[in-house]
Amino acid sequence: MKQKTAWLIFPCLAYLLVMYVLPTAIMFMAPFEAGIAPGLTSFGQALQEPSYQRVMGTTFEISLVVTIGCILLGYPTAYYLSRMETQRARIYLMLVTFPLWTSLLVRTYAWIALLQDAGIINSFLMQSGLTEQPVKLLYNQVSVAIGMVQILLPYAIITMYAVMVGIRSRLVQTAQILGASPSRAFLHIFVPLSLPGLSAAALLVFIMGLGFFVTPALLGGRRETMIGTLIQQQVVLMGDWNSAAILSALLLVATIVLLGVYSRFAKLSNLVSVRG
Amino acid sequence: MAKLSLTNIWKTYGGAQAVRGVSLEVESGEFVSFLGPSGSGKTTTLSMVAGFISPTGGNIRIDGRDITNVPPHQRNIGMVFQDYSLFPHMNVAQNVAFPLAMRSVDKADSARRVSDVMEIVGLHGMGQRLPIELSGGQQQRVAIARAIVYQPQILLMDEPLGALDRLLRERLQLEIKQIQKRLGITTLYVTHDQGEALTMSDRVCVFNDGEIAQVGSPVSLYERPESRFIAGFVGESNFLSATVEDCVRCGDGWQCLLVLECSAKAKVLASQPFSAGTQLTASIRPEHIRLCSVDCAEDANTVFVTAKVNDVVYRGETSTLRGQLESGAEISARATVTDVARFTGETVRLRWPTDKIVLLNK
Repeated sequence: MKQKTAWLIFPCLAYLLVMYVLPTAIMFMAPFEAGIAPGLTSFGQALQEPSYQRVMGTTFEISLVVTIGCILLGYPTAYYLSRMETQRARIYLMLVTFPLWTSLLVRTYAWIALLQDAGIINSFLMQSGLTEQPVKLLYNQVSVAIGMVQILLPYAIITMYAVMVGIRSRLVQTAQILGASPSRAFLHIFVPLSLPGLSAAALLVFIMGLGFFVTPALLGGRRETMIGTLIQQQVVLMGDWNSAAILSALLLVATIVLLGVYSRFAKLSNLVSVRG
Repeated sequence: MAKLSLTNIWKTYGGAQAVRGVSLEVESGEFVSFLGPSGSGKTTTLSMVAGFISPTGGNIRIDGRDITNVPPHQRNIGMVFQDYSLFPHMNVAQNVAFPLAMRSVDKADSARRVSDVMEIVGLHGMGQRLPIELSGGQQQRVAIARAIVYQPQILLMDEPLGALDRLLRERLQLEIKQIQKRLGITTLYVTHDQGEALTMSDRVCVFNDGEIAQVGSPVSLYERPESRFIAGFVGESNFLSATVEDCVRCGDGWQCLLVLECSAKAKVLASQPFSAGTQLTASIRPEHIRLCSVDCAEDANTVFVTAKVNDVVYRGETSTLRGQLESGAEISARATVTDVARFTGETVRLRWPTDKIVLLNK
């Protein structure tokens, strides 16, 4: 890179170095400093402790469910948006990103209002006579998944849209004149070409899902404790910075491993919607 | 091999009429090109044959079977696009085999047919390459192979050479024509390049403003244009206004005495009699107009005019003189001698044989 404007990114780089890279490094060092145990056995301890294992299992499980939910809801939407004219798609995309303008906390509390026993959904169900007792919608995996899908869906849609919009309709048309029915043309041409977008969206949602803590903390019960929530509890409630640091490091490592696996199969640039 | 008939095809978008009453019969094995300026309806008509757009009115038949409302995948038509439209996630062999796979042709048969057409388009042994690894010309060959591998009844080509450079374009013109002849496949070829249409086609169908302006063999279009539009669009033409003085019977047709706007007189054969005083347009190709520097003997079968040469454009084997008649009309003539640049700014005598004049209605 021989651009004369390269210095323009220095302030941002410096900021990230001081505010992100440095603290992360310190965090990794923390267990050593405290002299409790060397880092590796600390990681080992975290991995062997059954309660931590359960939390990690839950974290992966919820992230997976949320990822599947976001893809199932997001793929058709992104497809629809990618086939409309750009001017209109722009308006629709703004509507898609609209929830991102609202605080995550507000949206999470809104779900409580909707899902609780005396909430809007249960009132409707009982008044219409569909159920006698309120259906348990809150403080379980369902409510956590619903809340997280709602927050992560725009990211999934936008990531998939960015790839899909680059797939020319002409290709699908060509497949049809060559003898493919509309559904086969979609399956043989559009779907394979959209896979980079789909995998990027899935990875993005999954990784973001792993680190969630407010939504599972507010919408989930004890069984829905995710690793993010656990870290926050370690720091705020227990003051156990070592465990928090180890768990954070584990989360970071898991993320990096996922990115590494992904980069073996697809271009990482798909993640940031760069079309090449 | 199949016969294609278009009967009174209309296409309107809202109030706009994109195609207005197009009728055309394409014989089995015939190569017909659609020529016309952009927006003249040629691509829209082709898309209706492909089934991508449905006509507002009229019907399309292949060998008598009405396909107007048949979806594209059931039409058994092959198509080649300007942008090649190869599937980027499939290699060349997979691309070419795609239509066979959609027709459930078994693997061995498919492999044999793919290899055959790859041979025909001169890409033998390139099956494992990806489309992006090929040049534009090679990509278009793959697209052609893919469009003929399943022996479709009709082959449609939408400006297939538009994205290629001139030399490659000329080579592929010949190759496409050879392949088409060898397979005897009925072909519709859209182009806005009149040279391409004239060299490749059995018949050229010129579109203008959503309608067919004229259909005919390249020779008939060039030598017997029926309208000012055709005379000006297919090749170059000079247009001079002409007034009929008198017409007399002459063999099968009529011989009319005209007064051209440069006050020259000419006896021209016409297929119909015109009454005296009728205003017509006399059209003359630049290559028929000669500079008479030496031999300027008066002759009843030659028209002579004087023109002031405004500029001379050198084009290699010929030069084009652009001049102005005394009446103010622009005229361009083609000279085969190379040192005509010296005439720039001078007044010269030009001549052309009267039998090269084509009479057009105003």
